[in-house]
Amino acid sequence: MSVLIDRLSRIVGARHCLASAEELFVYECDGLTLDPVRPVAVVLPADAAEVSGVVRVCSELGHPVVPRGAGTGLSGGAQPIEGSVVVECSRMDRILEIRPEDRVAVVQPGVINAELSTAVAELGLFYAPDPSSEQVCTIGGNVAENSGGPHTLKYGTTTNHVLALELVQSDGERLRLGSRAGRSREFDLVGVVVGSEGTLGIVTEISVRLSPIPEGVETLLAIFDDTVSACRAVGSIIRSGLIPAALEIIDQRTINAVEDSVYRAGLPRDAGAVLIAEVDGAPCSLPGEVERIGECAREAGARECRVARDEAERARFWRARKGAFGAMGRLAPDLYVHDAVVPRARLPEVLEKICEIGDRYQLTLSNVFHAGDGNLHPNISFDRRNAEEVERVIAAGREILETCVAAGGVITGEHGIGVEKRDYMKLVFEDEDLLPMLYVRDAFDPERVFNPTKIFPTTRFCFESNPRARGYDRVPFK
Amino acid sequence: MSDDRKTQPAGTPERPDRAQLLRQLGAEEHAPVSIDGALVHRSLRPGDAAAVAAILSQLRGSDIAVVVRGAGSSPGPSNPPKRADLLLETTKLSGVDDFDPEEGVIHVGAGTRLSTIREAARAAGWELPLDPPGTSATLGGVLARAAVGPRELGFGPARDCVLGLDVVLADGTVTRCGGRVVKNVTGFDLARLYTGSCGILGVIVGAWLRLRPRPAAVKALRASGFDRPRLLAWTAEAALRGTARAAGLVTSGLLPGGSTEEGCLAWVEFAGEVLAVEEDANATFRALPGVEEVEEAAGPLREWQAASLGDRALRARLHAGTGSIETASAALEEAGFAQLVYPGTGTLYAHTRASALHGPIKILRSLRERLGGDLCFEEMPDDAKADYDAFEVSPDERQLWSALKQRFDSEGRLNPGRGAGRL
Amino acid sequence: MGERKHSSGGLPDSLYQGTLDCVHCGLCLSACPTYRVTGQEIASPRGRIYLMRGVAEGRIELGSGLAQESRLCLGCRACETACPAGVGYGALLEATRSVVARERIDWGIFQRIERMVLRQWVPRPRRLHWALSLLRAFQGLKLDRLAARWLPRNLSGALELAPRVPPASSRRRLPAQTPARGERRGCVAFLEGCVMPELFGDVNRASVELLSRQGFEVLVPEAQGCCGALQAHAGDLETAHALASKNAAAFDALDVDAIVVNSAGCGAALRECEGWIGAAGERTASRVRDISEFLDEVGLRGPLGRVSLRLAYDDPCHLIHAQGVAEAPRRLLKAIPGIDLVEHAEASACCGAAGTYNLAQPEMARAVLDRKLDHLLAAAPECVATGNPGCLMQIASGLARRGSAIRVLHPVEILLEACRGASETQR
Repeated sequence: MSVLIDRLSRIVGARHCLASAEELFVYECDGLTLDPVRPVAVVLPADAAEVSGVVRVCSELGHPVVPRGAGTGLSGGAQPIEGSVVVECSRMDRILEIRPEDRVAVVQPGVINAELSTAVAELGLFYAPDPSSEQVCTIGGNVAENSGGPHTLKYGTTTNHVLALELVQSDGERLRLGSRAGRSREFDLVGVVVGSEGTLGIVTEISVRLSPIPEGVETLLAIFDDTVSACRAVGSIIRSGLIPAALEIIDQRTINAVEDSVYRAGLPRDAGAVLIAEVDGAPCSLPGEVERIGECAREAGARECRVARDEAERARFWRARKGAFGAMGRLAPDLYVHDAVVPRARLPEVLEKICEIGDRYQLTLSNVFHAGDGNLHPNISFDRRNAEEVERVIAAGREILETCVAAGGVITGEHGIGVEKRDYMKLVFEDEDLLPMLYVRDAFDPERVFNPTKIFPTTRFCFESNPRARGYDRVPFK
Repeated sequence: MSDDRKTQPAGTPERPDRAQLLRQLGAEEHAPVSIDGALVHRSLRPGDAAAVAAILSQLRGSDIAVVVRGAGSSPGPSNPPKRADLLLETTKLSGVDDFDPEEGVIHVGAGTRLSTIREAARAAGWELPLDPPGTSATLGGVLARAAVGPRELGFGPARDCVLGLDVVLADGTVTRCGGRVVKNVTGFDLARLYTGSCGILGVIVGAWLRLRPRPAAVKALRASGFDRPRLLAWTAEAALRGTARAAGLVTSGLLPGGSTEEGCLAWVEFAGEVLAVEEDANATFRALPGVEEVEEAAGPLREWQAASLGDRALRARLHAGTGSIETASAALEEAGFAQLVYPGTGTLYAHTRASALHGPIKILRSLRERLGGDLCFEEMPDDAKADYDAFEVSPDERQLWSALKQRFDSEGRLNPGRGAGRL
Repeated sequence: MGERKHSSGGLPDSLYQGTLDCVHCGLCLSACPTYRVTGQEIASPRGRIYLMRGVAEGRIELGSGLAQESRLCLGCRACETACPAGVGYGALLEATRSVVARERIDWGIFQRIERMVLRQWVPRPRRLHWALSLLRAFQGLKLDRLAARWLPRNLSGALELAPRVPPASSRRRLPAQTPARGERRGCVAFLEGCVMPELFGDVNRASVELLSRQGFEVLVPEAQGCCGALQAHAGDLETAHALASKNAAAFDALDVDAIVVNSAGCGAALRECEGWIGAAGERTASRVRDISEFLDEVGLRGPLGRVSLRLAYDDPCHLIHAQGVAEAPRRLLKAIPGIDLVEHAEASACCGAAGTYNLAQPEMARAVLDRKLDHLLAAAPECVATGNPGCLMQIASGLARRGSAIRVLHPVEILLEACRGASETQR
């Protein structure tokens, strides 16, 4: 072990190679705290050359490499693996280049999402993907998870905004994928690296597309007596042909937790649910769009619709929405944030079933979600020290996912599979469907150095005995 | 679906006689068909995914090279196949299997014509965000090339509308990726990898697509009679407007007879909310004298995008980025290229005719180097295809594509040679 | 949940319970100055809380790791402003430091001297006065620079960072009572503090004059004293509690509209003394107001003279994060004709002073300060206003080191100038 530490220290400098018990202890999980594992070392490289050196040493000595951004991921993508070295990208936090005429920024992976938008604001630009953790999460982490956020409804997820990457391979080689000036249509590799959860290599440089700040924005708060009516409003807004920038629903339990916190926004505590609807674009057409959304909401039973009076109130609504997850800490020591997607028209029935599941397992369940994308976040408050409760949380979680899949949905919309959902992959995919994913991983990382235990199910595949999987005789997992 | 998956032969058969195997599959010999210069004598038109899987799995272990084709109408770039023993046509994999008009998502077979999908979408108030040139184009062909038209500015790249794909791998395995929902990170985003990979990893047999709401208003404008820099500035400014859906400029060199009297031609299209479209169109209208409102802008641009200068023509596509469009266009003009320019997406189509391509390609490559963009050759004389790869991918990317091809198609029998780097 | 027992690993159970509020969301990370400098999880609030919880649950030993981290933390509490779950980080930190001190973990000469100074000298006005007179004499003879060569790094750093001690004339105590000028609007008590009268006597006098000109009678009870904040931050809760009790008794005896404080750190300590000494602190805690907050509440009485100044306002951590006062000082300053209030980036981030922090952790303090100075210099104001003695010294010394001519003032000094200016022009 000391050989490893020694060699890593020589690459990144002793102060950026962490190996003491306490230093490693705090890296044992990311935003998913259920199943912590301590790494053998954590390194904080300063640049791509150091990352390359670190990876080479780890490959040589047989240590898995776990890339990490701010550790806010909710599926355990940055959770260490037995014997692993965590590559923490927080020191690679420089914006390398901004090209306003091309609307492109080139950043290191540790740049904080919201700080990129702040840096380009004076140019009239912003970086569109806005996960709720935007104040802390890194672009590198976003690339790994293909992060979404409330505004993906109109602007798309991370993958729609990444033009080019630099990727460090297991032999330490640095590959450049894509082109920052403009992408050719054919033969794109950037798209498969985005969302690969750190299993294909470590991204050390990212060229992202910037978007012009819309000329006008209107944010509407519609207040409902129950969540299901709010969902119906969302359905009819989508059908009306509008493309809102965001459609978010917050249920009563979450409203109250947020209103108790520093992120309070004056949301009505007695409401069953609120819908935050935002439209942006040319100021001349916004009043009409707001009007139409208001009509949809009232038809679905909204008791009140109010439009944010100014930028300050609008910012308060969004702070409330984005602080919701953390605010749930007020209800119990731990929070399991689920993430599933269903067709929007199925939202009301799925939501009812989810609440029924929560009640049946006697769990405190709340919902705050990207309704416009059909992206649900059922949150379960619990105490991880209570083993019996944890079991109920996990069983309920599985049922929730099964319900969503049965409705034509999938098991994650923006948090990723990580370790959390790897064994649920088979709810959505057959073994055959996973085969090409394994081909991709093998093409990029034949030695399985990067995040090897993530994404793929831990149970063995039938490929071992399947003659179709010719030449694929290795056990998929270490 | 589960039955399809189980289609597989037992054991490893002795390599049978080629012709016999092809006859067994029902592929009778016919007059040769040219696929980028390679002549194929046998073809099959499977009717569903299971049939595609059955064919490919029966060919396993043989040395029969399969080339796949939709309508064969795409004007996009392609490398000629290294070998072509069997032509697999996807045209019978057609039809809308599932359409959710509430959600605006649709599942169609790969052989479905875009026009069919468009009609189904339109009837329910949606539109298909794909508009590549070629009237008979099938979805499979379009996705294999990630082909787009002038409305890429508003629609985004082809990958953006693909939610999920059904793909039969080279060994006949039927696989699925993505899904029908609009947001999904369940596993690798394989749909983005397959889309635009020209069929070298697998055969796309069906897809879930995301439609867009039909815009409330559309307006098209045309400008002419000005020189290239003036008109390009007008087009580029229009492309920056919020509702711009297409904006393109054609230089005089591409116009019939290469006439310079008329100057260049430019079209822009706005689509979206009524008032916003009105505002953008009015401002663009006023920005230059002599602008006229026309019925259609995307249609003519789409035709120009597929235009050819004829014998010994070279049509290159250069992705220069929005910021370098003026530089790139000026450089191309100086070097004597005729052009179609999409300033909003930073794309240029450079046309020339030359007995030897060495000179023009050298110019294009140096321009690509200077601007840091991407380059490919959409059209070139058949004799040049041996010398120039249609896809100018970097060595870094070629290395990964080669590793991918190795794993997806270890026997190298699916569309061999058609990929980037002639994989 | 209640029936499960935890050994709490030597940490008090209240601390353990406090750590359970954290759901590990990480929204605090970018707000934390030490995380921004190191990029390390252990130097972040989330990491520190996780470590505290780990120690309490017996999953990792109480050792020098937690001790060092609790000292590396500035205690700026920016994480509390960012925390949606409402984790009471400041209290967790004080409790941890107190355990570290009790167990004498990594207890070196610096800690011993610090504790002695904070216990024996700082809370005793006369001793402090004499000590600082001695320091002034030293500084006069430049002996401090000589001594710095022989002392350990921490202590020599302390001498370098020590502000120039003003002459005895400006280190006079405040009068026990100052009448209101003009129409009387009420009566307030004023916290004189321990270090403030010695190093910032002028600011104290300006505060009292400002209050008086604004129509308030000002009482400065003699029985008051040091607030205990520095002692608590250093893990000496015992002394802190004793000092809080003394102050509560002194102020409870007065019938005033508010207890006005011009030092953010002291204000925060008095406001939270209920947490230290229970019900005995209730009346005091509820009446404490920062001077900017108080004047903003009662409304600034005009007219105000013109003060032409391009000004940046920097939030003291213990005002914005511990007391939640951010807008009041800005509103007051903006109300002055001629003031051009410019925004600089990360105004609410710590400057690195943090009580005795810049002495204990000079390297980190320097890194944190550098970030602050970069942002300030980029905004290029003529003057920086901030309402806390530690911040005033830290930012001033930093700017001086960079050769900048930007002045650093307490907001009351600018407000007073405006008040005085108006009465002069009226005359």
